[in-house]
Amino acid sequence: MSETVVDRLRISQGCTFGGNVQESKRIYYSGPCTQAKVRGRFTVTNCVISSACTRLKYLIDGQEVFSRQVEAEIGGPPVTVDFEITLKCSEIQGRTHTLYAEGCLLTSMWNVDAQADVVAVVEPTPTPTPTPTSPGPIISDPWVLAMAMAAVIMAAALVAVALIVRR
Amino acid sequence: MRLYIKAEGNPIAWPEVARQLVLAPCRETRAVVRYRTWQNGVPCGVNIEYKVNGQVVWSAGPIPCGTSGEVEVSAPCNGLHQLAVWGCAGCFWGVEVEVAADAPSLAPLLAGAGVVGLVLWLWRGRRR
Repeated sequence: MSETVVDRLRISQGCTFGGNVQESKRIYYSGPCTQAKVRGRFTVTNCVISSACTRLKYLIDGQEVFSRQVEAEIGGPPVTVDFEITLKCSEIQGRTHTLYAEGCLLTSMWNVDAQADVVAVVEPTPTPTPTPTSPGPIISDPWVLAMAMAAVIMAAALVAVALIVRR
Repeated sequence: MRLYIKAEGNPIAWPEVARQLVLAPCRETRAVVRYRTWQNGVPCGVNIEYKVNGQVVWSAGPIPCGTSGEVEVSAPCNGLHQLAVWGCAGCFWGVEVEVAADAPSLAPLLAGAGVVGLVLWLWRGRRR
């Protein structure tokens, strides 16, 4: 099994009241993939004069795939939350991933440092028996086809103009 | 394709938005977002959002003032590219941000065809 880190999301916010912090990224991976994962770590430390209540989330296209609420007490150790989410390959092929944190209440102080790695996993598969393949179309890319058609139309228009002008 | 915004604001300032429509023979492109922020008062924090066809390609915020960064992203090539900046709630803010994408434009091709057509038309007109 091999893993490739496709992209990384990071957020950081010092002690503050209310609000939120986020980083969103469209993840587009076209390489080999049998499964995808998101591996992340949130670290919440207390805010010296108060505890830090922080809500932590990971979203894909605005849908929550991970959510946790933590509180780092005054004088207590930092609270670390590790998470790993298993995804389909399609979820790292043009989807928007968001690493997000917010204060539990408008009046609660919070802070956070977090990082999440988006990983493509390739598991070895038994070698398939080769099957005869049929030749594909000469022009498979629709944009190239559109450009070729536009060029033909443009050339035809120029020839028509030239013929009209010649008369 | 290049989008650029340089703006400052206060707690009641509107977001600044730049848009560009791209039609090009490609599907996926590499885009680089470069930004720097500066202190325009206290409190200070900036939000940046880059969307293509309504889908967020990259966004972050609030970004602390007095910082800079560069992010490389993969974006759809064709469609409406939109860059927006605004401050965090109740914040004063300053930001300069640029998105540069490898999207080729159809404009040079169309302009070239237009020039060829014009030259041909003038040349034929003279010969008559």
